[in-house]
Amino acid sequence: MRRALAVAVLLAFAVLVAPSASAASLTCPGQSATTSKIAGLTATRRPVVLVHGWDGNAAAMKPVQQGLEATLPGKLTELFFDYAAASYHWAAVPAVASCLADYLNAVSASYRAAGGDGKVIVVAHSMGGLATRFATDGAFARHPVPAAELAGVVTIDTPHQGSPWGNTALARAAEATVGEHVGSAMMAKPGSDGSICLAVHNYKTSLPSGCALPPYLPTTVPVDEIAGDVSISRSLFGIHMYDIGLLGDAVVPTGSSRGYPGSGPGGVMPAGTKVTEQTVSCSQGLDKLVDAAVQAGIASRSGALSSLGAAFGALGNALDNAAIDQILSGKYGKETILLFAAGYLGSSCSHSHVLSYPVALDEVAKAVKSHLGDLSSPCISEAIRADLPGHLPTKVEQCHGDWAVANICVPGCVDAGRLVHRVAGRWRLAGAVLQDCRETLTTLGVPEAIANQFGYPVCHPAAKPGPPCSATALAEAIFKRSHSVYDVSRLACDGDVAVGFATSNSDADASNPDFGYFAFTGTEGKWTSHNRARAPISADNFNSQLTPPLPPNQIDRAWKLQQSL
Amino acid sequence: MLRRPWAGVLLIFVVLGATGCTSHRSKSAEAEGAVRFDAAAAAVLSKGLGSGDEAQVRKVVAVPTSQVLSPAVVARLAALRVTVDPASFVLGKNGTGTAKAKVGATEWDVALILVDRSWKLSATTLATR
Repeated sequence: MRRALAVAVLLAFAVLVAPSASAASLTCPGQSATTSKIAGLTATRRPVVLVHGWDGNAAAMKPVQQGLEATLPGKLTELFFDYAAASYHWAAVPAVASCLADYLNAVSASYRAAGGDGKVIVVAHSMGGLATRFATDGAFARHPVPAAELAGVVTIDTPHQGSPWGNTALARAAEATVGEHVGSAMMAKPGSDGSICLAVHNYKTSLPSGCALPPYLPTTVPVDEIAGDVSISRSLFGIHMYDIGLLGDAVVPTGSSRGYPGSGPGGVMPAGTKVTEQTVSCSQGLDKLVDAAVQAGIASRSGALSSLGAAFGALGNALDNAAIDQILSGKYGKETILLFAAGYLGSSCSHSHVLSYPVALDEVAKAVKSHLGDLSSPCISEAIRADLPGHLPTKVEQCHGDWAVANICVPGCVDAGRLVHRVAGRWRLAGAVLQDCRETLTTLGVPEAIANQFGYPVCHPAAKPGPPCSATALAEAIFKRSHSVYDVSRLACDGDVAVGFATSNSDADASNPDFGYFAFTGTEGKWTSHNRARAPISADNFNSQLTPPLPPNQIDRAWKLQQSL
Repeated sequence: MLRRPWAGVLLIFVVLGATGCTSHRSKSAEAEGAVRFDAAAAAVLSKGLGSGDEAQVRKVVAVPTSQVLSPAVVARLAALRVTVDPASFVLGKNGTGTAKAKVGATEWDVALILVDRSWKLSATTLATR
């Protein structure tokens, strides 16, 4: 066994010391079977990639996906990254880090192609958080994930500073002994590099030789650390006496799962990184622990009661770092180990159960929500805003392909719609959209097929033949509506629409003649007058002064005629 | 981390079962065969729990000396009127045992641990499940 262990460790180190060499022939086992296909992405749903932990698989993340869907319905597209076939390896190996990077890059590209901004949220459990860190570094990933592709990284019980169960005599004994009792498939491969490199590391303890230290994420990527914190409630006859805190989730101490800032090269996180921490606590009574042991078939009821009772009797509520040091030094007390094991097995926020613990799922949803960005419109307004500096905040109305209509207020302008066009990845102003008309878009260069997708009405149908265009005919129409005589001095006609400038010539009004721009619509060979606008300044303003107002599809034409007078 | 989380716990129970599980084992092993849980021992437990005195409670409940027991806990235990049935006692391994107890009409399973030739309460669970 010892020889086999040594060989395994040597093999693991061989993989670790030459990640780039093996990357050239990299395949990503496991992905084809259980990793989510990248399909069906839409701009209105932010992609969330769920990454499991050491010796795990995608199924472990299912409750997280369900929790997110329940809390943020319609806002997300959840995708599972499954590296089960390589998950007993350290997160730095190409089959984990580089494959994850490729997957995240592909998701980002698909999201961008769907009209999104290309940013992806990662929610990772345990070692999956470390894999995400490695995936952003070119030393470990063929195509590292750029900062611009990550909207945020949420880690759940990630051992940023390792676990006392990694690379300890206890862990190795557990792997070997349990393997003998229940079959090797039950545990990670003995001596696997994953278990070795998950060892505790911090400012005073380095990782074992050959284990790459997880790099920091790019500083612009916000990190949310969620830490499970198990305590065991000790009571007698239902009377609570005190809690025995395990200072973590029974596998990863909270100091490690909240330890991102001090966990990377140099031990000091680069300035500017936004990190939030949330601790989710749970307290479990003896009954639950005994039940869990009995249900798992690992002890009789009386046996579990006796063993745990003995542990309770020996332990106070202050499981401090001395207990952790015990495990690290191999001089752990069996009571300590028993309590950790029972806490892991029976506590609702322990390392594995935290993924279905409602309080933890709420925290995950809050963190994800904080990274959603603006998904209220089909386009991502931040992208447009970023490429149009100097403009006031943008509200995107519609976006189709590389064209969008947004409310952009250039300083000094009246708030109005603007057509923006993405050219070579950058958004540029393409013109004003004074009317939500299909023709407005096509005249500004939007291809007809895309213009149709905006759903705007056709405002300028081909002009129908109208009544004879004469000053007399228009004056008759004005008289018919107002019973006043006007002289039409200027006029312009476009099929069934006309505009004329007219002045009252009646004797009664001689001292104060009325005048203005009248619009006319022609039906059945006759003009109907829309009286009148004194000093129109825009199409809308013109129409608002007319009585009655013009039909929507004739406003623009009338305005053009007015402008021509 | 583990795909079969209970596997690690199995190991713990295996190890504990083989080697003993408390730091009191060395003191109690010799006495294990001699010290039975009889009516007198049961009476000592009931009296200590009902004393309302922290020192007396500590004599019958396995609590580390460094662990604070609040006066409220001591008072609430005193109000319980616990009776432990010595006839139900089952001797376990390594200085442990289990028995039945009643608080009013409610029946409990209690875990006992032998410390310096005296039985102490270490844990309780509801028996009716």
